[in-house]
Amino acid sequence: MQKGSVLPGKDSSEIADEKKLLVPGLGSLLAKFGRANELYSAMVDSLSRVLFRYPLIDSAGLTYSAEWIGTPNMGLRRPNYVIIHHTANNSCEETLQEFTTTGGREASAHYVICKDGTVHHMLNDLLCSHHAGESKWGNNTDLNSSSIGIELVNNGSEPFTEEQINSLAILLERLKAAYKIPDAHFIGHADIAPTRKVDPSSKFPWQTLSDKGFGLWWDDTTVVQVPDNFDYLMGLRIIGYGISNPDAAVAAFKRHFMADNSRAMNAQVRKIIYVLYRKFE
Amino acid sequence: MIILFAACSPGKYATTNKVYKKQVKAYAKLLLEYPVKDSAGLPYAAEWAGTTNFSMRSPNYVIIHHTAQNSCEQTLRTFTLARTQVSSHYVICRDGTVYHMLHDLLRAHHAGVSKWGNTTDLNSSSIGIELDNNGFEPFSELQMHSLLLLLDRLKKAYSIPVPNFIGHGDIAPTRKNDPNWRFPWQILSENGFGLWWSDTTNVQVPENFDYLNAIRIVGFDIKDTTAAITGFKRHFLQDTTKRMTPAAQKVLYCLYKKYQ
Repeated sequence: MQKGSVLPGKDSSEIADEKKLLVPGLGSLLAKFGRANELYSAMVDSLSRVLFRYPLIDSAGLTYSAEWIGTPNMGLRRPNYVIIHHTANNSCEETLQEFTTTGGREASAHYVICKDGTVHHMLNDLLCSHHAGESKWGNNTDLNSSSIGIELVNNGSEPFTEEQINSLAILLERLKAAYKIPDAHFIGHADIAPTRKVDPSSKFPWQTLSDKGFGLWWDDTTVVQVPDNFDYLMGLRIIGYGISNPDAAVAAFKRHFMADNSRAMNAQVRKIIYVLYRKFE
Repeated sequence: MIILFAACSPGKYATTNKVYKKQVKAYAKLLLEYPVKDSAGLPYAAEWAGTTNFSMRSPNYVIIHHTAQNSCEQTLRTFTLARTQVSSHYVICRDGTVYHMLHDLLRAHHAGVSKWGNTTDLNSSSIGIELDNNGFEPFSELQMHSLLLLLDRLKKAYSIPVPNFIGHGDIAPTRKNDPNWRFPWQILSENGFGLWWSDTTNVQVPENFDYLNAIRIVGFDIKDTTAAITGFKRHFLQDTTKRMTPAAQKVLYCLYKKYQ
């Protein structure tokens, strides 16, 4: 959900206004996060209260029952995907600063992993962070609501550190077990927004992750025969990519599954799409 | 036991309503927990920094069901018994009365084992609507009237995309056939809820058209191909037969291209 959504509850800037909690641009680290953390709690409290409301206010025109009957068979909405990002900046500090700033982009992630492997868990997994932006995967158009967002501190052109990948693997293990996230659902920001995004960069070790059970990969393709009538765009769409811009979809696929930054389509790419898409029945 | 006792008094859902409120409070508490307890092995930051930019997870699909029961009363009872562990956000009775049984932002247990596109946790990403219907009868006009009003509100409130109004039988084609084939999907689509096809007389389906891949792109799980074809035909052709036909291929060919 973006800022100004019609969802009930107050957004952070409204609460900040009410509580006169203006997050300072500079100042001591402690004080800075102290205020942001206070705002975090106030917001969760406000969102929780929304759940207590009944009946809903905006249900005009409906013949509601006179007596309200609630069901005890319920839960909290959970993530089904994990989306990996790179921060495209130089330090953890910059990212923490951005994600604790109200107004502006109002971006966030559930986790930020610094270059030294330190993990910042900035939002409860069960809440919705604002990391995906306009995006699509399969028929799903609200990836924020159905995913966990993980930001890796990385300038976009450097390799990811060993410490970072170690922490990431431990975190993914926990998330996979906690929310029963399917192997195929560990994907990147650029996969869900191929026309806008390139992260994580081609240096991200997707194959290593896949070996550990996070994300799918392909095997030896030497003996693979691709049928003549195989429509590779259908293949990409079945894997999950939006194909309204075919070039962007091919580029994102090659970056993710071939560590290749070019856009050219060729027989080898077609082969790998063919091998992979059949795992996405 | 408490539920059975309460069932005899006039405010017969007072007890289960209390359970509802208690559970919501427990979930609200859970959201405030930090740090998460099961994070063993990770080098967590010494100082916690919470983000200020977030919201509640909201639904992206609407799943329509029929109750396969004989009365609204029966369904309300099923959904208020904790041991059944089933529920939906809304129940719409034959007379058009709407029961809103669970807050939209919470997760109801209506989908069961299911899949649509790549999504495997439809409960977490959808609103469930149950229509009081025994499974073998048409849906009443009053019921459809209430349903359309409700869908309109949900679509606006959660920016639900047009293609994402679907049926239980679509997301669980091997297990489910609801809403039954009499459900007026075309009317829904004309109102902006779900996709439909137009005149197919001049449509030429390419010889090498891979219809199973197309069904998968629409969203159906194609592990069981017969079930997928049956689910597709029930929804888009109001036809309960299992075989792929040239006419069904034409419809599919028109439709799948809308799912880019």
